[in-house]
Formats: sequence, structure tokens, C-alpha cells
Amino acid sequence: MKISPDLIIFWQWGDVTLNATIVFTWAIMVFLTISSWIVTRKLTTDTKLSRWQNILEILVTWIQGQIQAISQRETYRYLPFIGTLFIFIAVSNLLAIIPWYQAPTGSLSTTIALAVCVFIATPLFGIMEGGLKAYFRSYIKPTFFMLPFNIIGEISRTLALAVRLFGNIMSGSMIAGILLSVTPLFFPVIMQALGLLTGLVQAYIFAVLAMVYIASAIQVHKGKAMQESEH
Amino acid sequence: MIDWFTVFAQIFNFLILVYLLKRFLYGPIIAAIDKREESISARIKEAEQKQVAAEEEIDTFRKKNEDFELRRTEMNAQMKEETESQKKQLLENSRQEIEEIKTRWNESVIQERDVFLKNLRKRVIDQVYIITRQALVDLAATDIEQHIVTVFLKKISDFNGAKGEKITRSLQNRETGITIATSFELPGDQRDLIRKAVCELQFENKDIGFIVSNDIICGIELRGNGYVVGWNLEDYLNSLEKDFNKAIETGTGKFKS
Repeated sequence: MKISPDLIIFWQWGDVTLNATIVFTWAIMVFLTISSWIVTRKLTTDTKLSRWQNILEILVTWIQGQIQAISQRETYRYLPFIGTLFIFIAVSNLLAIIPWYQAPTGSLSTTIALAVCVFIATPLFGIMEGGLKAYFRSYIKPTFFMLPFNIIGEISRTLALAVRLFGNIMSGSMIAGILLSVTPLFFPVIMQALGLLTGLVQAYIFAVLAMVYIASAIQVHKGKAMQESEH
Repeated sequence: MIDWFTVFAQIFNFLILVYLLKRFLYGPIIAAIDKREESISARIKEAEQKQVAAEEEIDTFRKKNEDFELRRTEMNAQMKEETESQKKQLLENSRQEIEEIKTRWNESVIQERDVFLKNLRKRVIDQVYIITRQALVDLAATDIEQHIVTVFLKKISDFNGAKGEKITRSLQNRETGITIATSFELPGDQRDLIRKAVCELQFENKDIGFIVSNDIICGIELRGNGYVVGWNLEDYLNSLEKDFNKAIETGTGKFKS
């Protein structure tokens, strides 16, 4: 039994390997892009909507609502990043009901990749919001001695983000595999269904945590602006 | 455990996916939502404008209605006034018409009364004449015509004094003849008596004619040169008629004694 889809290798040339993680990620990318294109090529701005347009609008507006609730801002800047995180993780987890499918999120490489994206995006959005100087100043607050702790905090939370998602998805697959060998009939089905719920919850948690980190980065600027306005 | 090539590949894949979804999902959906919101806002704005316009129109119509009501009231009042005036006019006309009818009726009554009185007078005279003549015949064995002639002759013979002389002189200077008009046919002897009496007034050479006149009611007259001398029962009857008329007009029913 393979723990990670990274270990399922379809083609290899030196260090370049084409494993199940990459292949299924491409499949998800193609699926999401084509289905989005099919729905959004015939968008109507009338009050009568097609069923799929309605579903996508609900999804997008819901994600936007969550972003606004966390960031306290009316902006579409974070929607592509946070929305793609949620949709990618959710879809890759939900597709687990398909036989022989290996969720890319079950690979530590994928979760680390996503966590690295959040790790990079967080200061980027913070700098975009308040400028380079204001962002880095937040690392030496309240005192200069807090700098190492702040840096450790940043790294550790990124690591936690990656490991949390990986652990949940991997454990789900493992439990399903173990139960399949012990009680091969009904119990794995229930666990599979539970896995779908867990997958959605994990997607939500990952996206929300990413947004919280970004929000905390942009709050530095907001706090500074408020202090300036008070003075 | 960690395949760093896969990690970088996944980072790259994720970034591509972010771009693709931004291009094919978020962009169009957000644009559509924004456009719809704009459209809805525009519709709401249009609806608000229409509502304002409708309210203005309502105000206009309300004002028109009020004006109409006011004009209607005024017209009603005017119409009532005109009707009242017309009614008064019609009543006045009717009153005048009634007055005219009344006047005509009165005239008609008066006319009928006159005719009646005339007839009555004639009948009364006739009756009085008959009674008188009969009475005279019974009493003096002579008829009333003879008495009338006798009275007439006496009247002529009494042409004395200033009045008598004036009449006599006038008759003497006349150019036409003297006419003796009676209400009855005079017998020959009485004509002779009258002729003789007239001749005694010294105008014997003048022509003396005898006529029977319906104008005279039971009497005899001498006519000449504008003078009329005679005796006539009509004088008495005229007096009687006056009394009658007076009694009818006053409604007392009493004759003047």
C-alpha cells in the first residue's frame, strides 16, 4: 500500500518524474478550466440564469463573502488566490470517490507546495497593501527581540498548514485502506463518505487559514493607517 | 518523502490554475454579477424615476380633478342661478299671460255684460213701453203715441224764453228742411197737428219731412240745423241703464232710487 501518490511514477527522466500527484493535478486543472469555460462562455446578465451559472455565482459570491468577512475589506484582490485554494483542495478531495483516483492533496509535496504559496503570498499581499517598509517593521514589533520569534512563527504556521492538510487526507486514505483489509464490505463506504466531508472541511480550513494569515499581514498597514488618523 | 521536483511542479501548477480560474471563472462571473447589479441598480433608479414621475402625474391629475370639481361646482352654481332666473322669467311670462287672459276675460265679461244689458234694456223698454201704452190706453182711452205727440206739441209751443228763442232763430235760419223723426208711424191727423204747430213757429214756408227712425226709442224729435228737440223714452231708459250698470259694477244689486 502506497502512502503518497508521489510514489506512483508513470515516467521518469533523472530527477524529473511524472508521478500520480502531477498527473491528477493536471486532470483537475483541465476539468476545472473546461467546466468553468463551458459555463462562463454563455453568461447572462439578465435576471434569469442557467442552473450552472447560478451554482458558480453562489460559489464565487460565497467565497468572496468569506474573504470579506475575514479581511473586513470590499476587494476582489484575494479572490483568485483564496478561491483557487479552496476549489482545488475541495475538488481534489471530492473526486476521491472515483476508483483508482489518487487525491493530489494526499501528497505532502502538494500540501507543502500550497503552503509555500501561502507563505509567499502572505508577505506579498501585505507589501502590496502597506508597502515594503511597513510590512517588515511588523516583524520587530513590539520590540526588536521579537524578530526571531516572529520569523519562527511564520515558518511554523506554514509548516502546520501543510502538514495538517496532508495528515488529514493521507490519514483518510490510510484508514480507508486499513478498514478495507479488515472489514471489506460496509464500513469503508461510511468512511469514504466521511472522507468527503473531511475533505471539504479541510479545504475550507486551509483557505480560511490562508486568508487569516493574509488578513493579519494587511492588518499591519490598516493598524498603521488608523494610528495615523488618530494622530 | 518530499519530492522537491513535485513540490515545485505543484507550485507552478497551482499558479497556472490560479491564472486559469481567474481568466475563466472569477473574472467572467464577477463581471456578470457586477453588470447585473448595475442593471438592477439602473432598473431601480429607473423605477424610482418612474415613481417620481408617476407621483408628479398623480399630483397633476389630483390638481386637475380639484380644478374640475371646482369648475363643476361653479358651473352647477351658475346653472342653478340661470335655472332660477329662467324659472322667474317663465313665471313672469306666465303671470303676464294669465294677466292678459284675465284682462281679455274681463273684457269679454264686460262685453257680454254690455250685450246683456243692451238686450235687457231693449226688453225692459219694450215691456215698459207696452205696459205704459196699455196703461195709458186703459186710463185715457188713447194710446201712448198720441200722448207722446201731445207732449211734443206742448214742448214746441213752450219755446219761450232765451233757450226757446235761440232754437227758434236757429231753425228759422236753417238751410235744410225740418225733419220730424218718430219711433212709430204717425197718423195723418197728428202729422197735420205737428205741421201746424211747427208753422206757428213762423217757418211755415220751410219743408217739413216725416221719418220713422229706429234710433229713437219710443219718442219724437224735431231735427234741423244741428238742433234736436223732442221727447224720448230713451232718456229715462239711459238713466235706468246707468243705475243698472252701477249696481252690477259695485255688486250691491241696489238701484238708485
